[in-house]
Amino acid sequence: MNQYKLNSTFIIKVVIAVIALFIIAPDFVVLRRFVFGFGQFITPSIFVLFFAILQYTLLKNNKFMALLVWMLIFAFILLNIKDGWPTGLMVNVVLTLMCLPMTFILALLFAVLRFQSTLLVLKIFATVIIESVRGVPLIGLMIFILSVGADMVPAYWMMPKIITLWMIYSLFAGVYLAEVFRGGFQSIPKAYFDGAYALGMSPLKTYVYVLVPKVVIDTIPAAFNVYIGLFKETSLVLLFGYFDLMNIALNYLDFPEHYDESIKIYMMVLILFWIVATIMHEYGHYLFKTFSKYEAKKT
Amino acid sequence: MHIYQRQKIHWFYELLSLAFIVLIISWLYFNWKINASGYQVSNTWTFLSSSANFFISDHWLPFSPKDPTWYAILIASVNTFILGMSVMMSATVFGFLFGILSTYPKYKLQWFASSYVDVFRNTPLVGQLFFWYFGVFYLMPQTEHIYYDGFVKVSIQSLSIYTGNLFFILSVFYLIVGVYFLCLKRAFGISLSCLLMSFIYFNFSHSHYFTMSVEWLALYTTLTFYTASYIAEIVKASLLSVPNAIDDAAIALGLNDRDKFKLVIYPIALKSMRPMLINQYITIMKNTSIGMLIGYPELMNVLTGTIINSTGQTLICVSLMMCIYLSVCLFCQFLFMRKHEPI
Amino acid sequence: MKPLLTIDQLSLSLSGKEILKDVSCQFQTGSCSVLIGPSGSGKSSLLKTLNLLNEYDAGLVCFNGKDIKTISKTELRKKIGMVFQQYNLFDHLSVMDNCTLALKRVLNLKKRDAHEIAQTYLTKVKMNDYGNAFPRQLSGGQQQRVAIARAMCLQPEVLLLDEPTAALDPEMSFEVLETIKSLAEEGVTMIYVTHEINLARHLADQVIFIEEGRVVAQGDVKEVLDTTKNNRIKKFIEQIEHRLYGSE
Repeated sequence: MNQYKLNSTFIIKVVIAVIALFIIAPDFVVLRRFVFGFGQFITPSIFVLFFAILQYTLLKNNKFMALLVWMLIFAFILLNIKDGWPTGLMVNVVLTLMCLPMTFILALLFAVLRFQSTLLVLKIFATVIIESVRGVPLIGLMIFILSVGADMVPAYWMMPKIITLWMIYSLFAGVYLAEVFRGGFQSIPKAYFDGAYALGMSPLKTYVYVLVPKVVIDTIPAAFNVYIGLFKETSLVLLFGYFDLMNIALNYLDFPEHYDESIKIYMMVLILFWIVATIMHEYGHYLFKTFSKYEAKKT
Repeated sequence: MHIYQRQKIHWFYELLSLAFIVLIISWLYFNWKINASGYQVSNTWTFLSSSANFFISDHWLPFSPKDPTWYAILIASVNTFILGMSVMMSATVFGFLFGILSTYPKYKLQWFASSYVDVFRNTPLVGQLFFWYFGVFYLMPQTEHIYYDGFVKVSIQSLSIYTGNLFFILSVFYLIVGVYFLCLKRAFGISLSCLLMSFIYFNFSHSHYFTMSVEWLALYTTLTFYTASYIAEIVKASLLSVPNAIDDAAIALGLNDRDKFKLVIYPIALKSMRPMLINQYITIMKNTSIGMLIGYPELMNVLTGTIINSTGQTLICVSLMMCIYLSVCLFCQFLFMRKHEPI
Repeated sequence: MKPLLTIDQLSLSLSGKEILKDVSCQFQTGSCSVLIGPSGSGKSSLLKTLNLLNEYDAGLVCFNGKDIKTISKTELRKKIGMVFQQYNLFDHLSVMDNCTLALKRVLNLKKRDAHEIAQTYLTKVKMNDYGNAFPRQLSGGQQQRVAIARAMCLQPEVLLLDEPTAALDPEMSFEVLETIKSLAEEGVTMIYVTHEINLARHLADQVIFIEEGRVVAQGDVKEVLDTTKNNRIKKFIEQIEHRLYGSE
């Protein structure tokens, strides 16, 4: 499974972006604050470690281990949340990471409920949720959750902000991903059902062991588009007063001595976002190439 | 009947899921009831007809703070609508330009088009907005050194262009076109929008200058460049998805390059890109809501910012906002996606 | 001897259209029955009905003396394997995964045992070197052989073959026919829909001719194919043989 080679244009693009970043940045301290925020620097390295393990489990095709690692990452994030962390670009990255599995699960659920289920009630419920989330801009959804939705859970729960954000973003991206999965389900030929039923599999088993794996693999590129969109939309957490990359930049530019640096600073911010999004894009490409070897030769 | 086409109603599971959903919703509702009982404000709709008491900096129709609140919401909706429409037009032009450039091997400009798409697609909209608004448009001259040469007036607040009687002429032109289509008894959408444009242009005709605020300019630029990159990608994908065999067939018929593109490839590609383009147009309408972040008075800002601040009617304003956006989106979907043409 | 599968007065209609009318026939254990007939006559629907992929309206289908509607579908399909015209392999799974899927998920075998069983059947169809390949990377004949191995992995009592060579060119269909022959020699009960008259002559213990949803003729090979008095069958066989040997 290790035949994938990094795209050379990708490497060149990222190298150029990093060089541009160092040229544009006023000094290294500012750059470091933008990326890691005010907090610790040990946590990012632990993240890298986690991802190495995750990559290993993916290569070994060990789904249970992969799930375990995701849960570890989640627990790690929750345990580490305090005033100084996460801040800076880490907010966007951490929030995206937290949302990935939940988005995936919700999307699968919605797609199956809305487009494959025979239960009318659930179908209508899923349709209403999907259409109402898709029809409202994310800012509107956030304002709704902030003002009305916050009252809809018991007051003594005291939900941490990041959990609220996690729920909003998961719902938002999940609904878009559900649409992607719908396309995947629709493109499955009926022969798959015949083949699976003839082997004695029940409809549920057919879904779990045959259809879902195929849909998930087939839709990796489109799903990563949604994930990149999710990552980009995380810059809206400044509505919650969260010190993400954008908010730190705004804060930095509040000082009169930095007024004339605004173009530079925003270019820096955009380059940082661009680098992460490009890496995500390439990772999606890598996953697709690795898991869809069956597409290699088309008849 | 075949097994996977069978439709049977499982009453037990239907009722079970219904009970589950009702349980969740009622739980949320009672929580809200308990929590909201602490607030002093009672939810009434009367504030919609009382006077607005705030000022809207950018308005295409006449407005004063004494006008009722519902009229202020209308003004904000018109702002959103016009912003969205102008972005749609320019983004379509740019997007098609870049999309065709990136598939047209004659000019060696593919790298330019593809890097444009790459840069604008992979960076957040908010970042781009701040880049244009706080970065680029911040370079416009400060209040004490306004640039003015009789034709263009540039300041940090606004950009004014001398138009003379252009708007009056345009208004009359649109009026004629609108009435013409109305008399033809077809294309009611076009005729209605023409009449609306005519009305809006007429409102400008009393001034010889056309003034755009810097917020409007920033939003317009950001959304245009951002959406154009998406449209370029769509156009490119649909042009590439036209099978080679059709290309060969067109060449075999003796069509030259331009005719081949105009008569054969483009119509096929247009059909396959239509639903995606409409999705983009709906997305533009939703994306105008980021105007809230820089204080442009569009629907989201006025309805959930200004009005909530002045009246405190959170629940009504928020639900009104969601309803308006939702109905616009569903209406657009209904309008454009009614016909499912086979590709 | 008691027949393994009995069909009695079966009739079937799909989306309002009558496909099968009063079909009755019997299939003995260890025999190879060939269904022939023009396209659209309901042969494939009959096979699918035996596997309960179609639900029939009236009649009785008995497997081992039991009505198949009383047996659970999973149990039934474990005992009746099916091979499709278009292979119906799962493109996203490798050959080995295709074969072990049902063993692991339906029979709940351990991974290692499943692999062993799959390996024996892949060897039988001479595809044992392609365990890690994906269906799209194989030729049509190889895919069909994998499909046969996949169906055989569950060790069914009956194998239904729905025109397995129809989508293949002569060279590829040769490989598949060889495989089917070797299976028949081992004594697997087969019900085989085909246009290959020669193979039918060679293998079949029983030939059933179906036209427009009715059984027109039924009996051993000579009875139906050679000494028949039915003009329609004569014409049909003549045409097929004419197509096969038209150049001579």
